[in-house]
Amino acid sequence: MSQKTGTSLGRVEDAAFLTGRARYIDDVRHPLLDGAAFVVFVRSTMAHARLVSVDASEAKNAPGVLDVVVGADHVVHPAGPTYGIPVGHVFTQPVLAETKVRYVGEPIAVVVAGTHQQAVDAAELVIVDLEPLVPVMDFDRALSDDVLLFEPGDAPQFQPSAGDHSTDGAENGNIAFETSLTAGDLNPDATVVVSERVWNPRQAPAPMEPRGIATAWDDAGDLHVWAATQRPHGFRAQLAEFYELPETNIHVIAPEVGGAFGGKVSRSVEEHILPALAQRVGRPIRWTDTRSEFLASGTQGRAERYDMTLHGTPDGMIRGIGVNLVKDLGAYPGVGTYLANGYTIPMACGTYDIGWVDFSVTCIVTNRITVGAFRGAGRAPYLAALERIIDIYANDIGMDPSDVRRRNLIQPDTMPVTTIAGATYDEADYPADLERVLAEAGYNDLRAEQVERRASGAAKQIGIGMASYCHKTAGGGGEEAHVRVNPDATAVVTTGTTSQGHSHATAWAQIASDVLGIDPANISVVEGNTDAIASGIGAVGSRSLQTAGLAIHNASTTIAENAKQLAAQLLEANASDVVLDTDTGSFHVVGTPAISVGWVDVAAEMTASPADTEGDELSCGEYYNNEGRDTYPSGAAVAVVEVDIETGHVRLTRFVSVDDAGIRVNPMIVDGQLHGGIANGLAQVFGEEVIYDDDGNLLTSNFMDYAIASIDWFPQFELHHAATASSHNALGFKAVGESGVMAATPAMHNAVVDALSHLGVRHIELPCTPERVWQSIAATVRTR
Amino acid sequence: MTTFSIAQSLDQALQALADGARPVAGGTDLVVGSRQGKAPLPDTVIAIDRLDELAGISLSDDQLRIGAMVTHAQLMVDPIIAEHFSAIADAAALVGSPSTRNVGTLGGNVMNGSPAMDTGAPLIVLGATAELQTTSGNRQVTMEELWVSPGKTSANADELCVALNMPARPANSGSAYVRLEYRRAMEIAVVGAAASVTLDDGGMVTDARVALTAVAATILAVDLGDALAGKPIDEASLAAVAKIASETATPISDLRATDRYRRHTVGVMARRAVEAAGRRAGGETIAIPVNRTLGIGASQ
Repeated sequence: MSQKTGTSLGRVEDAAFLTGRARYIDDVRHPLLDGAAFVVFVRSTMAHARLVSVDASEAKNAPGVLDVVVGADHVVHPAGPTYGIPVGHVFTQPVLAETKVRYVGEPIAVVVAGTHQQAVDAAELVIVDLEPLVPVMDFDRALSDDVLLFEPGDAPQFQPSAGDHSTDGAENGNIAFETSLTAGDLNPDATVVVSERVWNPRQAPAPMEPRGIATAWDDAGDLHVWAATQRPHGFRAQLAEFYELPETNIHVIAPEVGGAFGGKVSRSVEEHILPALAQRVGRPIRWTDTRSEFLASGTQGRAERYDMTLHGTPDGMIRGIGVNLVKDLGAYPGVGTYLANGYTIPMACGTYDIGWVDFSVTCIVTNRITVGAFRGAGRAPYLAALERIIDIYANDIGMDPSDVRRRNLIQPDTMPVTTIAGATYDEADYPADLERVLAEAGYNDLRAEQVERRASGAAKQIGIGMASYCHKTAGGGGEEAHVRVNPDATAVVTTGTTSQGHSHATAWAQIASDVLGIDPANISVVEGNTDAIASGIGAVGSRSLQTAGLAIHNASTTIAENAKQLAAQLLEANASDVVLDTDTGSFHVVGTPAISVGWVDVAAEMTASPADTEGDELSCGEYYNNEGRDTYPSGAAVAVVEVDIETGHVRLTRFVSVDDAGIRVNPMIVDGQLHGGIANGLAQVFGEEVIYDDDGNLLTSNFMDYAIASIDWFPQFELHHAATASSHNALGFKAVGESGVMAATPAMHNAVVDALSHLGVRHIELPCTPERVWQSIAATVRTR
Repeated sequence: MTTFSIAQSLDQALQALADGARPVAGGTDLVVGSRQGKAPLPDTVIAIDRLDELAGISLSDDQLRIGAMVTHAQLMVDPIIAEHFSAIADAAALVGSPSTRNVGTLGGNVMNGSPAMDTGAPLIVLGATAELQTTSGNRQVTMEELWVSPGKTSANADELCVALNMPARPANSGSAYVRLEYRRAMEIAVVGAAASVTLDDGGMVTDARVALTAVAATILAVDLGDALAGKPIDEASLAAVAKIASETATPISDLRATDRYRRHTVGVMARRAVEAAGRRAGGETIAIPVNRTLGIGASQ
């Protein structure tokens, strides 16, 4: 069987994962980590308070305690402005709280002790005096500036070592960042104006492995860090800034990482401070947080409020979209700030041909934990709101939602196309994907069944929802890869990407195998090590395949061409006449396959005749830069739900999708990514929501209270595929890591509302919990 | 420091309790509670899980006896329970996960006294009593007498629950337990209801009982008045049951649901429990658990 691109080769990673041999942060053993100490953080119990004093004297004398550090100790510089967005310096999060605390769980002090239990016990002896301030939890309260999280002079005494500190930023109150775009012309025939407020609630990235880091300094003064991170090189660059060290003196390794979903993109202050502590106590240190600690102090996602206005004609032509987005950044602006500009506004048109866009974004701070990346960040919440307002529009003008979408989808013959929001979509066929998914779902039969069910007055009513999507991927430019063929005809692929379950070890081997003709089983993949390769962005924003994949391909191609030169010497032929048979991995002269040489022969020739060769032809490093030519995977989905109108309970009976991930390297891996992404998106409709009370206490601090997705929510997903090659890269790759999320949330959300539309229900907020669904029914009963 | 020992005989266990030890069987409440910081482990713990005297399910002419150590996993598949005391099997099948069902016991569940316990409402509607034993004797306590408040029972510290007893079922009887849940596994009932129904040959109700889960400080028995007695199970009588159940409930609001929603849905659950119990009383087989078979909870 072929093992090349396009085949569902079994994952080489699985044996280790399934038999417990994979090594995660807590499993890392290294001589540098011998005798490691442990830390426990003392955290704020209030959402918003002035920090009056911290008394660590008793804790310092507790058994086994090596050190207790507080904010005033200024042990390491805090992080500077985030991702080049001009966020005022006042919003900087001190590594340990200095003057105020701004979320429950914010680190105030840290205890270092010989054992974890000693650190736990000593942490209870740290006395923190907090003077409560009014917590800012409500969006409108934040916007009113009635209470400010950051007042002039609130900036940390200890400043970031890099970046522009000139803008204080406090003059804008609780607004950390604003941006907007108005483009195109609104056709005057848009006489129908439909508005709705659509919330996209906070959701928690919930990887099986929470955060973790182990760190040590060696005798030469180099810093060694093992971290559960999506971005080892980015982590290293940040540490270099905080610790004012050259990057070459810092060594970051991401071992196996047990899931991330965006929750391990940014370093957290807990991870940030550990090397400083290791330096102070002269011992290695390790820290892995608990599930509740991760839920209460890691980053979260979504938290966006959309006021949507759709301008259309009475016969279903969408002419314009007005969007007023208020985005909760949490207490300290992070990557969420950057996403609004870089990802959300470019998606304004979705998959539709829309002539006018008026989009404003206001990023606010509230007394919750920071909003960072989360699978689909910056795109999924907006697309969910867009697909929702389209359904409301269809309902209001009395047109089937499929017909409204049909009338407005971007046509394939116009692609690649640049929308008025400034995004350039690569090749796809959105109308065909929609028609296909409707046909596969049996849409007309479903509608007929719905009519019957409604007529019967049954307690369980069915709803049908749909969504169309495309989304921006491959941000961040490029990625580096190094490929080497060894004398024994094995090969090694090294990249700056990382895998947290992404199957790179399998997929990267398949890409190299395509070119080299070496069995993927004999190609090993090295990732997650800053010593192994100079640069890397990492696994974020569905970008590894269309960047590193190209770099691997190009490096392999260079090696194959070099190898043909060496083979030509052995075959006593012209290099231009030599071909590499990629099924067998052998070289021969065109038309004479019986006489061939293999990679072992070629490697031997390279070593034996250094006079003729440079001796490193079978090794090549390539940097691939997409030069801004992003890829836009796309698709459409139909969800079918059954709603118990007596209890509001929602059951998902079917989920059908057509997804266009471009050229698929390994269809099985694509399906796996879609399964996870779809579940992730559906979970937001079922019940996943981070909930704080009015005082800013986190109520969802464990998996009993945070409604983490459960397999029993989901039927077998019915996946169908399109595979339109993208012209934005030479191999036609797009992406898939976040695609499943995009249509899942709005398709199911639309289905739940559709099930109740005959009762007069127009919209239900996410998540559509049984109680919320029941309340929406009860509200229509009351008004009838 | 906790001292842990394993009882080799019932007498040894009872003596240990008299000396101040606390019993542990499956440990699904005691150990989990300790790990979550709710309550530290007792100083002295005596394991009772190996005592044959507390094992087994036996049905005599007039009484069913379920040993306190019978697990939820046993209850959900036992043919006597499934056929004649179906509500208990319905409830046992919904508890926790396969691993908690395999170690968690009925006696432990009862003595933990949670108002959200799934097996509680079935025991009430089936007229069960708890058999509490000490070194000097034993007594039978009704479930209503046993449960005092959340996590608190009327049993003395030296009393060990050795069995749950209940009368044998009359002909034409059926029972069922349903619950509203957001997820299937590792879930706590949002609300729940059990019903027991006995019919005469003409399909009229001769006896009916309903009890409610997670809507009061303890599992709540409902006084049905004349809502069902002498009547057929039809829309009118079911509507009356729902109304009484909702009015009887005194639920709280928490993260999972408001009091208003609980009050409404416990009526729906009571009605569905009576409906299923009535169908079973009429000779129909509804597979265990009825929640999944009829798609009442988070069924897929």
